Amino acid sequence: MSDDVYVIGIDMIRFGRYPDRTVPNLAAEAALLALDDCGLSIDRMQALYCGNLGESSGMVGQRMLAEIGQTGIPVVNVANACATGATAFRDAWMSVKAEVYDLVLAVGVEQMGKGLLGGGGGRKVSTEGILGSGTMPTMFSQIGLEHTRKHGTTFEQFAKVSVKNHHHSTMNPKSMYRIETPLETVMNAEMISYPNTKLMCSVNVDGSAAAVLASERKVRELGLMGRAVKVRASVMSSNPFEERQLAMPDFSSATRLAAQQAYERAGLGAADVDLVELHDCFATAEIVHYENLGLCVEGEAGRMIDDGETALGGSIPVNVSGGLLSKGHPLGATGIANIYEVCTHLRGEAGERQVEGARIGMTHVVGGGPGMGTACGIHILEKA
Amino acid sequence: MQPVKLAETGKIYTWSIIYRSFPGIDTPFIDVIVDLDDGAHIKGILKGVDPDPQMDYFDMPVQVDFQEMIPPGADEPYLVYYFQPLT
Repeated sequence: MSDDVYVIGIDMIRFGRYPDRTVPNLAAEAALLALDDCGLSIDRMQALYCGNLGESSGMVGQRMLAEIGQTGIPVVNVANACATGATAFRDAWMSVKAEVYDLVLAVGVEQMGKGLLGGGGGRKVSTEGILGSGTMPTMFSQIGLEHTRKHGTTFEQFAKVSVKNHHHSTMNPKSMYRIETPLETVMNAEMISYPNTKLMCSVNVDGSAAAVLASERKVRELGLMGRAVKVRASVMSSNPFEERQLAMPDFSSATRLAAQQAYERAGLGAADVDLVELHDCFATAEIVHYENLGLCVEGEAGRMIDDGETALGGSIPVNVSGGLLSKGHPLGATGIANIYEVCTHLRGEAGERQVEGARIGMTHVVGGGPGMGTACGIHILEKA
Repeated sequence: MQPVKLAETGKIYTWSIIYRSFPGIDTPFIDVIVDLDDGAHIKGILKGVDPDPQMDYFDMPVQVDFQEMIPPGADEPYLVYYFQPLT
């Protein structure tokens, strides 16, 4: 029997705005959906790993168990910027990999307001509009224009990412938005930070996602190998030193580091991957990550989006869920929701957006901010 | 901590024009990442040119200047730096 770890139950709620509900209540709904997905109940779970940012000191995991079953299991509450959900999932994975437990639950949840994120951590006096801008759109616009500087990438090419992901989301019933946005609509939308218009910024929404992970022995014992998904690699990284890090946060080197390790551990290359859910917090970010994840060689990302290679039906579909740009980006939930998307394709259950014959999928999240640092999580998953 | 004097001139590495910021912040303005001539890197605002997305700001030579500004939510002015095209 191998020490491989499997996802046996996974699900997410439809992302949207649920101002009348609580964070633990949103988490509980996803947890119950994931448990139902594998036909188990909370009393079988041996540990809970709960990811949330907004109430990170509020013991969200324990409060969630108060709604669905206080069985006394250990609860770990984690917060790790936009990699929060992936961190909870990876902690769950590690606990099974290390054979401490053989059946555990991971949950990611967030409840968000509307409006801009960013501003940097812990400053007493705001420097916004004085020493520049600390908004997230600005950070990722400058990263996009860095790509323009190196490779000549155009505003139109960045905008095409948003056209693609919004189109994908029309086929995803769990997406916040399900609206076609033609190129002119995207490019003529309100400019937030050039070159990202409003439709090229991810959507702040409420959401939750959850996964049940098990050892190979446990999966066989439960007779659940039929729909199980094997975790081929689970990797995290933080930001290695970069020359300009005090002036502009870096999300690329952490992504490249994690991607390289993930491919090594899985014994696979980018050419083996059938679909990718990557961190399109802004349209500019998706372009940069094509190269960071090795989906194309340096400087080819603009051509890749022009040629439709990353659209559904292309050679390597990216963000067929609609991505953060349209499905939405509830920070703590995103890193498990994208694993749900990939698992759904590997199981052949993705309906009209199904990537035909998908056997290997990759998920990527990366987060951080000015004056803080970067957290990146990458998972490679395989149909069992 | 030791004060360090940085170079007063440099070139723009990357930039963005900010049209929407937090409430109460005047827009548009140009946010630039400057590679200073001594090898340091710093973020700041570019003044003295109109914000124009069609402009190619890459590698524009700039120099630092200082002025008093009141940050959002504060009641006292702070001495802050900004950049302008090198004259």
